Amino acid sequence: MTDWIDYFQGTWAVWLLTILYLIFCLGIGWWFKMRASGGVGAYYVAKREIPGWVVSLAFFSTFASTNTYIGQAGKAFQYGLSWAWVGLFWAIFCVISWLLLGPKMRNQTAVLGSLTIPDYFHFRYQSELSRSIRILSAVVIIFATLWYMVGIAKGCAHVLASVLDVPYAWGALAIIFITCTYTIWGGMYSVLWTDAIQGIMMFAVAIIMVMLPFIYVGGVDELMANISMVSHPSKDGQPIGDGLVTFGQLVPFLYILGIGLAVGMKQISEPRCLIRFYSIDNAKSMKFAMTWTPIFLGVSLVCVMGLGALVHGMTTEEEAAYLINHTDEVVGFMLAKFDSPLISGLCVAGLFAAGMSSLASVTLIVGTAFVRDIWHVWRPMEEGRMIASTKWVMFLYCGLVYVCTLFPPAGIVELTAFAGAVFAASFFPAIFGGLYLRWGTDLGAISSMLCGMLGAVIWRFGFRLQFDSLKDIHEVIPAFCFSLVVYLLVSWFSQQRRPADAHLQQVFEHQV
Amino acid sequence: MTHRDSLKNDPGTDKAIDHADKEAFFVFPTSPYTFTSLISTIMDFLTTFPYWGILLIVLANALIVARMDIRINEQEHD
Repeated sequence: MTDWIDYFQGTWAVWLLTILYLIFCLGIGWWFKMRASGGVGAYYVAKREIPGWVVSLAFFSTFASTNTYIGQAGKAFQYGLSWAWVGLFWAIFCVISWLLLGPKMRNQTAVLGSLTIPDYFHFRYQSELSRSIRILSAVVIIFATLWYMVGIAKGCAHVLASVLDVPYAWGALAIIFITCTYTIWGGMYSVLWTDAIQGIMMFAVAIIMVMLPFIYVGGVDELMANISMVSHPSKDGQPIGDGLVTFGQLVPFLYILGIGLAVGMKQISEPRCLIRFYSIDNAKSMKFAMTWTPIFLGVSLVCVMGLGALVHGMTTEEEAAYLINHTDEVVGFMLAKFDSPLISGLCVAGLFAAGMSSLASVTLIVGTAFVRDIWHVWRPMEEGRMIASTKWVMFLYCGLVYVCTLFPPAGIVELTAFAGAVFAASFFPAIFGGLYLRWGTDLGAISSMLCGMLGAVIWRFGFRLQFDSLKDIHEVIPAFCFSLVVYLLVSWFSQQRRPADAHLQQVFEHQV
Repeated sequence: MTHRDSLKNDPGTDKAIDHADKEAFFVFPTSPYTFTSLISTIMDFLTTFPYWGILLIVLANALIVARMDIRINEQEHD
């Protein structure tokens, strides 16, 4: 009995905030249940009637997941303050995504009646071949998303286990199925509105987290002096010295570039980000989102990306020697060392928010891709049945994710990053060409997609993992360049496959 | 030569230096010990660049968007 009392005295704030947060998410799902059942357009893209601030926060919270707040923040412990360069690349791609793709995608998808990214390929390129592109891209989404979801569920379950002593299997079960429940209830409405609330929490938590090392050590000057020259061992056992504050001393710039591009380019290619553009209601909202999304993301990244390096100021030499090989535990360590139940509660709720916002988005993406872009193409179905089928597919897929989370394959983080590279290399040329190039063709699109996938696989397994000198050149770089060139060349030489002029006129009439 | 450079050149500091030595070393005798002077002295340009670079990019983006003429077709609700 006294054990339980001691346990709750130490964790009451975390439990309270976490439970309140989860009830709130479920409440939003329930609230939008009726509205989401008003047709496929309502369930899949919230009838394109969502305010800009909601979409903006939803984009930010969907892109930045627990991987950012735990994984990348912890990496700075190993790589130093230079790791923020990764955040700079991400911020650049956020700007590119909204400036180049946002308004055009919103207009074209509305004109075409597109509700998913795969069906955009089909409707834009308009041919029998583009039907194959639709199915192929849906298959890529379903396969690649599995590892991404497992990675996030695993991260959240570990946080629950380390902070609240909840068994891993139960933690994973709760995270996956609570997210699944509110997504099934409210479709895109609940995904966007919960994402927006989660985005606010994540923004606040990023600012709180970066303050903790400074408060703990006693000020900005003191902490910076502490980390400017440290005797803690680096990954290879040598003292870090001034590596935390010196550019490129602990990590090669090529590696930073690879991770910066591989992850950052998800914003211009991954359906979970691009689908956000579909739901914006008007030009004023679009302008708001184009301005504020990079601000939400950029400020959060400034706070989070160098956090691990700052934690060196809070650690003893023994603690640092352990953490340098377990960078995923750096944020948890920081919270434990700060030892404030309220702060821990806020931050844990924020970390859940980061994980659940991404989980909910991709759950809906998988459901829609499977039902609308594979099942419905193969055997057309009525609208009402399509929504019910999407719900069942999401539930079953979450079951599969849960099983994989219980037995996660080795190297899941690498697998997730690899999936991101495949998305960037295979989806971006077809999307960008579809939005901007009237002369882009279906043959160009499917060729670039296949070459992007093959390029990523061949570079990774045939070159990067074989030759030591190439290990820092991430597969996203050659695969992306290769697929872009293939799209342009094949489209140029297959002009006879261009869709009819009337169709192109309709697609391009709402130029921004 | 910056503080960090002189610290690197000191043969006694290539390995571990204890906390007391560090604090003593980072007292600036001639100028106020401010946050900005400390950051610029301790971190090299390329390390600080992404931090203010991100803020510069989002600011530039805001200016570009403010000048853009965005049109959204609101009639196409599904």
